[in-house]
Amino acid sequence: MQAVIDSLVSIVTGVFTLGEADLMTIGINMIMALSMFLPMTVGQLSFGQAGFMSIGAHIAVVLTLYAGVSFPIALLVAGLGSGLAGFLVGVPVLRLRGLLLALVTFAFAQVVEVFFLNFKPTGAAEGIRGIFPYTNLWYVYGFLVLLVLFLARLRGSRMGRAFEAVKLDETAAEAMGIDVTRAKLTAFSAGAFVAGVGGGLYAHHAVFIQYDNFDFKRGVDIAMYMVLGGMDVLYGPLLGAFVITYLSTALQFLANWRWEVWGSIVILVMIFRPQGILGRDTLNIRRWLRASPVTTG
Amino acid sequence: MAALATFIQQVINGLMLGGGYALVAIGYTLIFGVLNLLHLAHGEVAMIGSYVGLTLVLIAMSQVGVLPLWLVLIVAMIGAGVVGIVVELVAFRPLGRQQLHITPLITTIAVAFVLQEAAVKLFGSEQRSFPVAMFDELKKYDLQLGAFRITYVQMFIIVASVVLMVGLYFFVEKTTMGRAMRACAENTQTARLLGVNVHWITVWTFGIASALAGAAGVLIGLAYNITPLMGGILGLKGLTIMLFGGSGNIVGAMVAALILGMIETMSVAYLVPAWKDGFAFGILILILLYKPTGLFGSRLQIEAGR
Repeated sequence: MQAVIDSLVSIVTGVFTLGEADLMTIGINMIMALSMFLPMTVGQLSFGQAGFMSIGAHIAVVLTLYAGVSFPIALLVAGLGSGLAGFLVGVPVLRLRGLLLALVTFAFAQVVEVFFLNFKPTGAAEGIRGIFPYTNLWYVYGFLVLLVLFLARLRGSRMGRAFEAVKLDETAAEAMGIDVTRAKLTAFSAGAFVAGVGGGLYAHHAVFIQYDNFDFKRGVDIAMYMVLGGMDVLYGPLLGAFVITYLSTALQFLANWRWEVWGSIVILVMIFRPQGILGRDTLNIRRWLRASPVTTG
Repeated sequence: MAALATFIQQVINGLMLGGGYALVAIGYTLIFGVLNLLHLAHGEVAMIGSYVGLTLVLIAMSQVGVLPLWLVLIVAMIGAGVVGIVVELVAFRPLGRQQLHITPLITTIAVAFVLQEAAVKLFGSEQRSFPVAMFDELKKYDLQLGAFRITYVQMFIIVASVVLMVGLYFFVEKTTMGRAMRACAENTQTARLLGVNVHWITVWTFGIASALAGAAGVLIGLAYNITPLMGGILGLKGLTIMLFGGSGNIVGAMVAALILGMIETMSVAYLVPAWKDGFAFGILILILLYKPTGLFGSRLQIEAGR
């Protein structure tokens, strides 16, 4: 019993002694969670963020390593390239909704993985080594703060209200004169842009990238951040990314039983809070434990 | 002549692979049809099935000798069926039916990871295969057709998958429970009003679908290898095939599985092997975009998002 309490205490106190590398990983994961949250603001469930992350990472690395471009510009180009890919993928894909959209974006991420597995200029299966470790806390949290400010401002803006309307009811939104296709494409490409920048940051933090850094598991992780944290409010994905990234190291003391405990936590949260830990009703204590109806796409 | 023999060998490989894929995909179709939910741990259930079969064979080898393959298959099916029912009770039932489509996706992914870990702990993470001694023992039943040889195991894989598929088809089309399943797939509320016990049907659907997945696990394990990670890719292939053939369409899934099995073996033999999985996902994307009802039409309306 004492041992259990000790480890629980060490989980809580451990938050204050996180190293720089851990903080960077957490920040990058928060960025990835928000990149999935962006399409979600118009009710689009995109499972392909790992693919956009991969594209961004590879573009940024090629620019800094082979072309000698400075890091901020490389990040920007990575984001734009990945956003362009998001736009091109989005045009045919966004007429699907819900489960089918999740599947097709997921398949896209797989195709990206197979592509980089076979793409000789970026080392094919060997990946790229010796990437300059440019990423530091300023870059990660600077971008994150900008992103959060943007998303917080978005909510009350004209575009944000349009997104909200599309999320609640596409047909009604269209009837009110909102360009639904444009709203969806904007949100989807913006999500891809953010994922691309996140990929660039990740690559220059990990120093070594390979096609399978951005595989099925990465996609699932990103989805978990958003879904567990809460996909209705901006702070949900942030909390999810923090808690999950932190717990996956802090639960080390469970050693062999980490995945079993982890799986049960996920299932329990989904049973009691299908909209995620944080939701619109978080401050409403009386309704907290009741699963409120959530609206998506 | 040698080229022809290679080609025939590839056709047989394609049939074996297609048969295994078909069994996984039919399970997917059953669950998706009745519940309108994606079961992302379905491949892992198949993986558990193949380990059950392997363990049984290994134990029997040390005690009594080589077991008949059909017995191994049946035991693996029962094992996987039980696992599938547990998955339903743990990860689907408590969610209720009026949830977001993403919640069951997440819970079944969690189950998939737990099953993978359990397999690593129980059976080790290294690649395993059925014992060579068993294959040697079964060699005496091999068929020799001129210069060409079909092994007993190959025949067993093909025949078993065909028998299971035909059996399932008649079960769904001709029996009372099969009719109840189809009623649930059509409209759960109406089925309930007409006196179908939907909960019971759900449990049975999971059991049967998982048993088929377990059979697929054993058959693919006989032809290739068994690893704790085989479930992920198997599940994805099953999903692709389900959509390819038209979700809810059992015959469609069979044909699509054969096509995909053939494409895959042929692309390994005659095209670039590294792109093998790329083909499957490329097909998946094209189908979803341009023919979401699949090649042979979908029996169900795919719920396009809630």
